[in-house]
Amino acid sequence: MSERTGRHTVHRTCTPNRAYSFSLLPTPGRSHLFPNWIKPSDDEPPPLLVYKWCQGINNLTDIWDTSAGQSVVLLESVFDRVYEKIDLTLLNRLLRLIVDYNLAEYMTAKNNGPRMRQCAALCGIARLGIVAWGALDGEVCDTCRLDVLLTTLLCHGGLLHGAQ
Amino acid sequence: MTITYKDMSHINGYGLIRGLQFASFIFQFYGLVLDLLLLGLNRAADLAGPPHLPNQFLTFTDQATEQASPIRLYCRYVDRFHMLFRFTHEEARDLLQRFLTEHPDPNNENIVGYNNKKCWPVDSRMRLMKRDVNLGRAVFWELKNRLPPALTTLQWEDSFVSVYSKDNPNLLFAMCGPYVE
Repeated sequence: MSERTGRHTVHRTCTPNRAYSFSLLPTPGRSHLFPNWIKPSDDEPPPLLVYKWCQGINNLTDIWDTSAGQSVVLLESVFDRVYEKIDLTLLNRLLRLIVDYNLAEYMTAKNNGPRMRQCAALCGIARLGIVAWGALDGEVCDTCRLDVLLTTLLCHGGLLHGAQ
Repeated sequence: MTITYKDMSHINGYGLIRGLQFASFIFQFYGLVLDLLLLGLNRAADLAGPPHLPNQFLTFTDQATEQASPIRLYCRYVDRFHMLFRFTHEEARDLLQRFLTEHPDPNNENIVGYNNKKCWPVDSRMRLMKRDVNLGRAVFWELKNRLPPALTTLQWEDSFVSVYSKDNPNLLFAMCGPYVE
C-alpha cells in the first residue's frame, strides 16, 4: 500500500458531473424551464421556424378578415444593448430563484472578476459534491482547494491512504 | 477591473461577458424576464399554457384565450423578437387615441421616416396610410413603454412594424434572414 512509501493517494470521491454540462437550450422532455416562444430551440432550425411562424399566423381565428375595420400589426424589433446593461446584482437575485445559491454566485462571479468571489462560489459548489476535482484545476486557490478537499474527505470517510 | 485607492477598492463590473460558460443560458433566462415585461404576466401565461400541459409553439388552449387580448403571437430569437397583434376597430381606436394624446401629430410627420423594407417592389411594400402608420407607431410606443430603460429599450431605427388592414393587403416581415410577405 502507499503507506510504506509515505505518499498519499487520494481518490476522487465526487461523481464527475460538471456543474455546467446541463442542456442550455429548451429541449423536449426536459424540465420546461423556458416557454415555447424562446428560440433558438432544438425543435426548429431557422427555415422551419419561419414556416411555423407563417403557419401560426394562418391558423389564428379570422386573421385575414378586415371587413369590420380590424387590423393586424406585426412588430419586429431588437432588444437594444442587453448584454451591456445586464446588472449583475439583479442577475444574481434572478438566478437564485431557479438554481442553487452557490451556482448563482458562481455564474455571477464569473462575469464580475474578483478571484476570491469566484473561488468561494466554486468551493460552495464543490462542497455540494457536484463538481469533479478536475474541473477546479486552475480556478480555485490552493488554500480553498485544501479546505474543500479536507471537508470532502472527512465526509466520505477518510480515503487519505487509499490504494490507487 | 479593480480600482484601488489607499485602503479602499472598487470592483467595476460591466455587463455580461459573451462567450463565457453559462453566458447563453443566462442570456436566455434574462431574455425570458424581458419577455414577461413585454407580454405582461397574464398574457405570457396564456401563451405558455398551464404548467402541466404547456402549449406547443404558437398555439393556445382554446379560442377564448386566443382572443382575450390583442397580442396573438410572440417569438424571440436570441435578442430579436416578433410580435403579432390583432386589433378590432375599437381597440385600434383606443390605442391610437392614447398615442396621439401623448404624441400629437398635427403636421402628419409620422409618415416621414417610417421604416419600410426596400427589398420588395414599391407596390408590394406597405402603403403608408395615415391610420396604419399611426397604428404602427402606437404599437411600438406601447411596447417601448413596457421596458424600463435601465434594462433595455427598443429603437425605432432597428424595428419594423408592418400593418395589415383593409388599406394594406400585405403583411411583411423578415425572420432569421429571409424576408416574407
